[in-house]
Amino acid sequence: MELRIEGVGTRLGGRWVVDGVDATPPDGALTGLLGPNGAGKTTLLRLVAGLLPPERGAVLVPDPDAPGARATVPVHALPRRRRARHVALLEQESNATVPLSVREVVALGRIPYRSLWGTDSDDGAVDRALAAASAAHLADRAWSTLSGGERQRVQIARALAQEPDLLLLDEPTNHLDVSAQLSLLAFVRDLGVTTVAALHDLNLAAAFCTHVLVLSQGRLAAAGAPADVLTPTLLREVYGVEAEVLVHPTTGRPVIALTGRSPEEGA
Amino acid sequence: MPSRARALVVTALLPVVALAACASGGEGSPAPSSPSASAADAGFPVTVDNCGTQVTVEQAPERIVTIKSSTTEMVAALGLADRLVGTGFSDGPPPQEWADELAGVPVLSDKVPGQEALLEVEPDLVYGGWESNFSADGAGERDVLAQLGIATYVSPSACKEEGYQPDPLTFDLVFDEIRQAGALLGAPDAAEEVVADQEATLEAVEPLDGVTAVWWSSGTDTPYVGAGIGAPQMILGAAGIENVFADVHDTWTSVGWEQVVAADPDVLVLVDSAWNTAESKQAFLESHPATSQLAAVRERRYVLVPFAATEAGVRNADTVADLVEQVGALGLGG
Amino acid sequence: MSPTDRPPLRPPLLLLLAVGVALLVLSVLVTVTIGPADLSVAEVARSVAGHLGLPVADVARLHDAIVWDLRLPRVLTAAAVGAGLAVAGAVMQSLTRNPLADPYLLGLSSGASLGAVAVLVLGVAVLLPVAAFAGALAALVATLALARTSGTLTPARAVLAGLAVSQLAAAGTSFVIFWTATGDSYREILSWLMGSLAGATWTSVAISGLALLLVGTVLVAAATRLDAFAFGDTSAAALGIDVDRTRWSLMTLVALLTGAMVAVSGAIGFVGLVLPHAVSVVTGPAHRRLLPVAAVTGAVFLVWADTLARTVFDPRELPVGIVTALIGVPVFAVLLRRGRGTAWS
Repeated sequence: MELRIEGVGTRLGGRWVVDGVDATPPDGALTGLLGPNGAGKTTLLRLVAGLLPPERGAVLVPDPDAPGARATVPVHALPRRRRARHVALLEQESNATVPLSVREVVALGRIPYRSLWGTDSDDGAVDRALAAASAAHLADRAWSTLSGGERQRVQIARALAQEPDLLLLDEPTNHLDVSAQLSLLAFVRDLGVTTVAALHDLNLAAAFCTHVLVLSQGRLAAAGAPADVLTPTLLREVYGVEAEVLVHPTTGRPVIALTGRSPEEGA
Repeated sequence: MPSRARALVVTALLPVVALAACASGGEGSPAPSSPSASAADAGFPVTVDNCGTQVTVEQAPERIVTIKSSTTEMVAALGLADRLVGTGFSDGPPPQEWADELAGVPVLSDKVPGQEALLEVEPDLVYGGWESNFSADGAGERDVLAQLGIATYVSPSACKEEGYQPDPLTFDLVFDEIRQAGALLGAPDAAEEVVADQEATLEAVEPLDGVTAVWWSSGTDTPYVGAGIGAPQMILGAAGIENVFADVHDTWTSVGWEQVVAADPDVLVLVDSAWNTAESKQAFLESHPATSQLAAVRERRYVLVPFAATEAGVRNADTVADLVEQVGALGLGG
Repeated sequence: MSPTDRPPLRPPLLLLLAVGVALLVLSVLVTVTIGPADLSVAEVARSVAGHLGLPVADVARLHDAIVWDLRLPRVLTAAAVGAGLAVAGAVMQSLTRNPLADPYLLGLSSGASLGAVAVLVLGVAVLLPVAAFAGALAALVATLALARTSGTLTPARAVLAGLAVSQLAAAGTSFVIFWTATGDSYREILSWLMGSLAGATWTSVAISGLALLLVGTVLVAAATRLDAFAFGDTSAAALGIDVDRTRWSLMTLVALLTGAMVAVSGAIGFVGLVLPHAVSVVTGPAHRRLLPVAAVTGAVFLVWADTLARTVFDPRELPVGIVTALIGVPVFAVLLRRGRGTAWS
């Protein structure tokens, strides 16, 4: 899905937590949303998901009523159910104690498609989503017994069951071990769905993202390909760290080697 | 946590209701113990075991406070109305014969008087109809009042303790209570006269035969009725009326309308009080789909008794006579 | 393997409902023949058949009254109230994401009690169910208004506001009782506060049945939306649910349903708290399965609990709330043990 973020901003408690962000994440690719804690990543994701109306600007998506045409509509203006058939958002934490089976969790993703009496127009969608997320073997397990990596995979299957054109992930690699982090991001990258993922780990972002957006205090500090954006200067300005940016010997992607905190200004 | 808090709200509320329910459950039931000081011996001090509390009265009380109609009327019947310095918790107007004497007595409270209101009139004896009248949030604990030099006396028929609660209540026990009150209040001779009067009244009664009754005191969803061992049974028994719920070993009890309808009693005894009138009871019986089918309701075979006469005391014998007359007037039991 | 590792065994909904409804019909038929009055099954059958217009021999007038005016309305009210409370409890637990929520969480029972006590003690010339219902609604409005003053209606705010309103209404009830401490109207109040079906009439059947039918149907229809709350508000919103409006309207509906039930029976405890948990062990937490099965189970449960209440101490009547608590607490304990390490940890 072609997504255009045009000068969006919103306040929480009087402070502009997202302030005039312009961005155009590439179609069908994985975009990393970077920035220190409190930079506004989660709020921007909620704005892009249409769950929070922007006070300024707009998040524009293709008009689902006019496929093929170039018409766009603000995502928050879409009717809720319709929006949920195009945009899926996975939150940072998912409650581990929900007493559902995996299949039931994934079936939640079909809610936007269910009729008043709960019948789904597409019986196979849950199985397809489970298969697509390589989670079919987990289908009959109880959600509460899954490992962190399995849980994320199932949550992504749930999001896929929504058949979204736009996938929004908030810190999907949190609490995962290294191998699970790699396989999850590789999987998301290869989905072919326009995806924006808030990420903590700069090297993971550098390794998997086509495009990165760097937020700093609610504003967009930089956007572009990881190799262009993730420079020592940007890392110093945004994160307050000193780093060398190397080139990975086999992938050719940037690798960030931290050396330490930047000296306090004026100290 | 929220649910527990809600539970707390309920439990916080219950004691008030439970206490009140206890209080109202404590109606009439004198002790089987006879006075330790014989009625004939007018000499003070008098000591009695009253519901498990030792009560000693050094001399004839001069300043008496009564709580509940039954005790007020007892004092009046003993001819001591002029010693009353206050009354509380009236269940209804006194009978005509004592109305004038009692008219001038200060009413401390229409409920149980609080401790201060009680102490203000400087009583030397407080005579309560129910044990629950003597509580910290009522007239005061009995031992606290005792330390202040105020004797307390509870109508023995209202004792709730095992061994003190009359089981069943009989007219002999009521007469014992009258004699005991006479001894404590310094009017033993008057007590004997009252007892003699009552005995005469009862002797003059020609008990009915073959009449069944339900004694309905209160409650609409679950009627609260006279059971096997309290004042209702004593009064009905003396009148020769068969109490449908005589088998229930209790003073009063909650039953269902199903049992009342199944029993199909000849008459319904309706207790009349200001807060629960016999009139409202009749209206309920006649509007309820099941009870309205009862022969006693269709033929309006109601018998009314004032609430104050249904607690053990000086009005019980008259109530027996009254019941016999009312039922007779309905053309039954002859 | 812990029990939760096993793939949950979930029988088909239609099978569960068929068994449940069959059990309910059987329970009603059996319990209506049970009672302190010694009536034969044939008499009971003839009484019911007679009222249904079937050509049968007449039943003695009073026996007919016992069956048709006392037992049957009471059994049917018990069924409707049990079903309503179980559904209301299940919905409230999901809306507040609090497994200890019950239908009375928003101050409803306290409000209804205040209304009822006002009628019972002050002799206000209003029918008791009407006053109780008005009290419940007033409590709901107060709770939601209080919760709303601070912005969006989060579960925590609703619960806290409900607590405050409960306290206030309970204080009001205590005050009314204190102020009018006469005679033994308390007994009636006590029985009402603990919940009782003793006063059930055909009017009660109509009130509780209609509320169940109307509100219950809407709640079952909203089952899918309730499912969406499993992973929280944001997740529900991302699934296309209008979180705020859904919570407001469903809480109001639960309150209406509960208010109607409280109005006819007082605040019967534990049905709305325990049954949804017990039922979800079999149905799973999907509301489209849970709500209808909880309704039928609640109905069967309360029909039998009330039958015990009116017969065990014959001729004495036991408040049915005591029976539901006596059965409910052990069930709750078992569920707690079972649920260790999962939803209730």
